[in-house]
Amino acid sequence: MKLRIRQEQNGWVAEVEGKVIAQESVKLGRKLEETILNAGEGSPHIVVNVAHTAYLDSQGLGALVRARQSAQARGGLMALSEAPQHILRLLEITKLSQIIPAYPNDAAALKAMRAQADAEPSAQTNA
Amino acid sequence: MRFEHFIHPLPKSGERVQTIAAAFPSALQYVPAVEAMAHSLARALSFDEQGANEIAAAVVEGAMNALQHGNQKDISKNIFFAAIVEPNRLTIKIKDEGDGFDLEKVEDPREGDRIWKDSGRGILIMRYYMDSVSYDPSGVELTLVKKRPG
Repeated sequence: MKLRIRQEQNGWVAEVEGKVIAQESVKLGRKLEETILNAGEGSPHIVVNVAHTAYLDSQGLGALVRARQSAQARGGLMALSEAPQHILRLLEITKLSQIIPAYPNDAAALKAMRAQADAEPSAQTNA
Repeated sequence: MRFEHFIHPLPKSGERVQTIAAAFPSALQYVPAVEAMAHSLARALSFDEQGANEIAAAVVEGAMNALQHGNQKDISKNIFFAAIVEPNRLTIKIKDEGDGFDLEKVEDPREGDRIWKDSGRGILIMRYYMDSVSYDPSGVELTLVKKRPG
């Protein structure tokens, strides 16, 4: 797995490339958590770009769930971007699509999260 | 436990090998090697890249369950892997040295607040990727089956 994390104007983008299995899933969870905790001032919105993710194991999915909860607990949101069909299908069969939204690209994800946070600040504490 | 007790009978010298077997300790760092072995075998058996990824992903879930829930991450305990190649299907067996579990008691991770749990999706994912997923009555030996292409 290759993981690159960069800061954008409205949040953070984590690009995840390759197979996310076993200890790589643990690493993904740790890095996402570090990013959320060290996001500084403002709500930690984080986009996980999975365009080049071959697949995620159940631990990798668990890391996304934890990141979603961690971001939300700090007033932020988490979403996926550029998810290929096999990742979208995985989210559907696990029903994680109900709690982890997916957007066509990073900019759309960040824009949507910012709009949701501005419009419904109370919704961020419902998890 | 020895291979002879898991894969029986072992192929004789000169006999065409139809079973590939391996054993590895209960540690996370060995899982990628098992994944790579399953992926390579699937490709060699003419599964396309997606099919090979699905088989490898199911093997990862089975291995992780054996490692974490079966062997409780006890590195002194092994996980046994076997792939049985038949003309129409690939069968993969993964066995741990734990106390076993009751598949019927595994809760659906999609229901209610369990959607927010960060674990418990392995069997669901294996069932999605494979044609058949079953455990022996004692709950220590997993059998995964996928129909071969063509």
